[in-house]
Amino acid sequence: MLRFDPPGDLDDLDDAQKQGWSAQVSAWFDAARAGAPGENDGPRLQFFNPLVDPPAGDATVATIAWNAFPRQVRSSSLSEVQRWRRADASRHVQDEYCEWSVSRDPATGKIVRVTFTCEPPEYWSELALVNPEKVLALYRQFVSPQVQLEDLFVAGTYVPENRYNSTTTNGAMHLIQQANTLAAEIGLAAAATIRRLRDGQEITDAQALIRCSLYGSAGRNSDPFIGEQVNALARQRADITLNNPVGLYFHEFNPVGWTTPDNADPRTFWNYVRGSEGHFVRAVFEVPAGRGYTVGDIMVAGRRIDFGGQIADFVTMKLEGLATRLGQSTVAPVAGCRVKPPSAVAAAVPLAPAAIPAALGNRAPATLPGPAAVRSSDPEPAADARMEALLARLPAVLRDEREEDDGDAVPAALIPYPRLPPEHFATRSVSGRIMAFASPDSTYAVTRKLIESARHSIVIGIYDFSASYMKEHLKKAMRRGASVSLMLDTNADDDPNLFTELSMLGANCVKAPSQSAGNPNHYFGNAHEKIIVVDGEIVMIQSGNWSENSIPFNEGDGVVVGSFEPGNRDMGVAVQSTELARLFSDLVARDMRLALGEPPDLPPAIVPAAVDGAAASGMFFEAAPSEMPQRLFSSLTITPSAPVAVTPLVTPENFHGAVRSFLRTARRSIRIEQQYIRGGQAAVEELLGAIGEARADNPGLIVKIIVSPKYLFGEKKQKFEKAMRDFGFEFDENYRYLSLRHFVHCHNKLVVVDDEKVLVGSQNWSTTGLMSNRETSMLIEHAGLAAYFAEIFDSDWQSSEPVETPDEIVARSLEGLRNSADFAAGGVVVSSTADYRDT
Amino acid sequence: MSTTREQQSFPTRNYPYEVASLRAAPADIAVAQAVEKNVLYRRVAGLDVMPRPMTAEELLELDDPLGRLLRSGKPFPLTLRALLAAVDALAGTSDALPQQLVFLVADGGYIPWTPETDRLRRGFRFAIARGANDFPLLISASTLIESDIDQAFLQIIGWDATHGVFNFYERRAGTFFWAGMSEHALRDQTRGQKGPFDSHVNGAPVMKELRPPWVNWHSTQAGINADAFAPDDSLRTEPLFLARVSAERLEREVVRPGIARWNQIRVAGAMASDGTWEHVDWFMRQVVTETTVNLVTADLASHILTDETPLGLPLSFFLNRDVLFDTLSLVPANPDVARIVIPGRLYRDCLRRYDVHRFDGEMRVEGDTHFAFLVPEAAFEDTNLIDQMVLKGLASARLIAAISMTDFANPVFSGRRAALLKYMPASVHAADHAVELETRLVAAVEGAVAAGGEAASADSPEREFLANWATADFANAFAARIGDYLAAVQSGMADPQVVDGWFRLAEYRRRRFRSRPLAEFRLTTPCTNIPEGAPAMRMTVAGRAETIASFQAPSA
Repeated sequence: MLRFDPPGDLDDLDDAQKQGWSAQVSAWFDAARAGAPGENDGPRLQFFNPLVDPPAGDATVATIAWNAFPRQVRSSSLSEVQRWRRADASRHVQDEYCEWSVSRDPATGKIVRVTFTCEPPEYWSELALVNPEKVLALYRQFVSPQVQLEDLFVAGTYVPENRYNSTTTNGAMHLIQQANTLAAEIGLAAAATIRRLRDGQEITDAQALIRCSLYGSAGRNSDPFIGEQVNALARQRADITLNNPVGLYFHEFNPVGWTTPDNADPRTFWNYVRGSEGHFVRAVFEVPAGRGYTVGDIMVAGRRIDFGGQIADFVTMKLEGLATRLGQSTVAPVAGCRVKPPSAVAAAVPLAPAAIPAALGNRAPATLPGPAAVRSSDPEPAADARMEALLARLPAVLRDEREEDDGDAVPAALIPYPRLPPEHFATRSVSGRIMAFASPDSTYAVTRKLIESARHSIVIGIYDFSASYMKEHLKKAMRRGASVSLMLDTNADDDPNLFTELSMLGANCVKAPSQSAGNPNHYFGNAHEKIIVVDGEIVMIQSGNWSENSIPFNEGDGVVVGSFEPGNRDMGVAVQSTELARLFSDLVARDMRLALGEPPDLPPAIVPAAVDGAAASGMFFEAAPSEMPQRLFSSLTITPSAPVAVTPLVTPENFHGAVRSFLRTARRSIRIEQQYIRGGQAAVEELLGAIGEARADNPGLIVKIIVSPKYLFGEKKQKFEKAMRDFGFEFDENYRYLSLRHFVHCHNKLVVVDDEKVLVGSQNWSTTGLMSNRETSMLIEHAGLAAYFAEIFDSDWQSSEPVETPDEIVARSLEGLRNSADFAAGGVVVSSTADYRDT
Repeated sequence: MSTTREQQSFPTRNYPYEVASLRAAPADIAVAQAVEKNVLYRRVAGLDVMPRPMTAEELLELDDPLGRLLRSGKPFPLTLRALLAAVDALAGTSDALPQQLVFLVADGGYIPWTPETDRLRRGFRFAIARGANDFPLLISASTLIESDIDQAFLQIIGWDATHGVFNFYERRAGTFFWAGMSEHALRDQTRGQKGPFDSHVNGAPVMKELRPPWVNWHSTQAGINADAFAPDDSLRTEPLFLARVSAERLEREVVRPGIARWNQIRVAGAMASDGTWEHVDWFMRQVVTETTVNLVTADLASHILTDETPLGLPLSFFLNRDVLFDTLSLVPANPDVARIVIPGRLYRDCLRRYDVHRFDGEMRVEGDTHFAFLVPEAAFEDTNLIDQMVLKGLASARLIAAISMTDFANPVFSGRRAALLKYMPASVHAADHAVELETRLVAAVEGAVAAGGEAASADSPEREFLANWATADFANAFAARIGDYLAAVQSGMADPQVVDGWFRLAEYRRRRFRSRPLAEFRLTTPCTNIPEGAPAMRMTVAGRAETIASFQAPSA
């Protein structure tokens, strides 16, 4: 064997590129053979790289085949229709190395075609790297002639999960489910060659093996079976590898018990369109034109085909192992199991600067060659070596971001967003209770109470969801019978199992329609809102995500119960109003439809469960504040004696203009507590200008601004300071940095005007936050609530009294970076990059 | 020298099944000794006192792959190997069956071979399906591939598309016997007779384990691999063994379609030419009783269960999910409400308390079956027929719901539902058969209640059925009852006493299964120290198991 051929002997690469692919596969084999000796999982000496160590003449191919329908969906569903519907809802539950997309007749809704793929994502990333035009041509040939290069590549980088390869309805070019990778196949096969002893007995059982060797998901058809069958060969003392070409393949399609209207053999409707004989990687099931019927008219066991999953029931997948030197291996079994690797959080935290994760997202995307792919090589702004070293410890996503300033630019290549008309956001009169809360003081206690009160439904639209204990609260609510709909701007900070777990329990989980979520249907740069609607009666609008620092686990409501968990400064309100609750839950539902590529203004539909996961974690460690906040505030609940005016302010619809007007009305005081204020951006400076105009009309107007000093460097810092100067705001007198002695970070988005009105919500002061993200706030005209938040602000202002220069304060924020080894020693918090990123 | 595997016999796999019967039937022996080679005999238990050669006319009626093969004039293929070769030789003809799926099953087949387990009677056997567009030939054979002795059983089910029936054959005494066809399973004279129809009770192929993880089969969650055999066992390198595939394909591509095909034929042919639905009771007995059962287990292998491991119990232990959820769509939207998960500690307590082990008649193997909590569930043979009846309008969803919700907490072995069988009309003749059926059934039950006696008692199954029948908006009402029941079940998941009751109920149901001819192998179910004569048990709608006479608290 001279090289590893592409999966299915595909001929998309030229000879040199095929050699490159072979080298890549060979490297994976070498790494797989090396294993993880530190985890009692390597070297895997019965696994071999056939380029390095050719098989002997007795080599035999062992086909290992399994059903394509996801077993985990089958196991967790109660009926056939339920499991088919759930499997058809998302590519991310199709985890048996086979994914499909369903095309329907728009008039009848009947299925006309189902496309199945088992092409590994790595191959496509490689192809995109060396020949992006070929990628485009293949998408146009196999998915849609409408595909454009910008649908597949963003800033020159191939997006594997793009709008034509991310859903179950808009095409399937190659595998995208997180576990469906070639690397997973190779790793699994290699890991399974290790024979394991427990209490002196060799483990032979599929379930025991996978739990001991940790080489896949025990709930799938494929992984336990592949592992067990490979291990059975290893137990026969064979040397084992994967047969060339290495890949996952369609094995058989066997539609027994099917009936077609004209008694045609349904096998003839199944056609392989990519791959070689015995190694097919793409199949299409479609009734040829002219027969007068479609796939949806075919019956399976007396029922029409209405789901792709009904076809997948009759599809088997395979891989090919290769065993040689049977009975000759002298490799001894290994005592004990693989040592459980560190948690995802700890594993992602750099122990040394070089180990800092490079990028967010499921996989490192391929990059187009040429000018578009050339990354900025701006020199580090910090002049001294110490600063350089400190910066190197910052998570890459924040480090890369610190110098980037997109100015006024709305994110490129967004799909034009169909805005809701202004009357949607008219001021409401609220007679129900309103609760005000803040982090780290009371947010958790209030939120838990409301979630626990849920009886029917919980609707959530949120940017970051990494606090696992909030997931548990949702699961409990679901067990009580409450439905959960979750739209999340999925990113690496999120709990990687979140969508999987909740979807399996029946939650509707949808990736937000944003670029940052990697959704091809990206109407927003970020879906940065924080909306929680409970039972259609109460709506929570807040600045904080569900991250450990924005909703720290403090069970007391403004009092310490047990120990105190430090956190970010965040604020929010919960308003009891069916009208507002409806407005915001409808907004989430509408965005979900956008996310799924559906018309936005359809009547509420059943939102299919989608499962996603983020492989790389965006978690990192920081020093906990050295002191508790000087004062903790309990939440405040008001029961209005007269209706309270509440105005929903939503980006991109009505926020910017409304806030500009709101600031302009100030006569006595303006308190602003924001994560940041991006100077030099026109939309931001319009707001600062409105304050200036109010000041001009009201010379006694007191302006106080608190922002976060965290990771404020370079041009952003300069522009912030310049804006403060330009608009006449002095450090200490008009603006301060939130005390890091008392808080992890200022993540707040608060404006209090004249102690009478308060704005609470999700908008950061940047062009995108003000103009183009999905963001939500509420402007509440109630002196008691305004006073509550003003009092907390004043406490923060007081505790942020500067004892250092602004430069020193900002620079010191870097010194709080810690690594996982520090965590057990205490004094460390787990932070989410999502709490810091520019949005 | 043969291996122990090769020496083991399958006494239940020779028609008539029981050795004792064979001894008591000297005529059989005489004929067996006198049979001619390459002659197909018939012996349909219940019809034929003695085997006899089939006539030329009868042979022409056997239009299944084996029937055609045996009347072709070629020598009979008497071994599994020869039979497969004979089928292979059909390549290029209209009878060609090029597809071959090989499955391996053994009760206890997951137990690795050791000198100590060598004699364990695990009953290795192949199931081999041959087909083209579907699988009309299903072979069940011992692993003595080259042997034609009776001990190396070889049984074949062939689908006769011309007549719409399965034909049942066995090789015996050096030739083949036709043992009947599907309809014999239903007819009074032959139903339940010793032979194929004491297990194939409705005339279709049987795979007892029709749901993952397919306990006892080579499958994705548990393989039967080379180390199940002695180091010198030739089966390790046997091509058929090496070609084995996972049991999920037997379920999905062979047995379920086979059963469904026969049920479709039955439903489609229910009406006589004069519009009369004859033998209504043949259908309705599969609605109100379990004519047979399937076996289902938890997904988890019992030997990896620890005190801390949650153990999900099979939902079909608690209700008939096929009928209630698939046919009647009374399915909860949230699957979580039906997740019944008990602490591993409570199950392990039961294993200890009841001395759970496996026993093949000679050797004791400690512990539970490979997958935990093996229990009988409603059989696909029955539930698919019900599904077909509703789909084709032979019975209304309302009627099926009213019956199925009677004692619905006991999906199998419900004496209460079975009590309704006596009210079923033998035949129905009307323009709308479904309406006529339910009208006459309801009238009969109402009449029984009005007549007094047990049917009139407050908690009689007759009254329960009638209340169900009268329930307005039955779909929502029954879904709510199911929801309440599942909530009640879930409330007991961590209660040692409740779990103990469920375990004893499971053992009671296994005991009922063991009393049937279908229970051929002693290693199929676990053994306990619960006496065979222990009181019968049932599940209540409160999700608690109780003895049918009176509830007794479990012993500590």
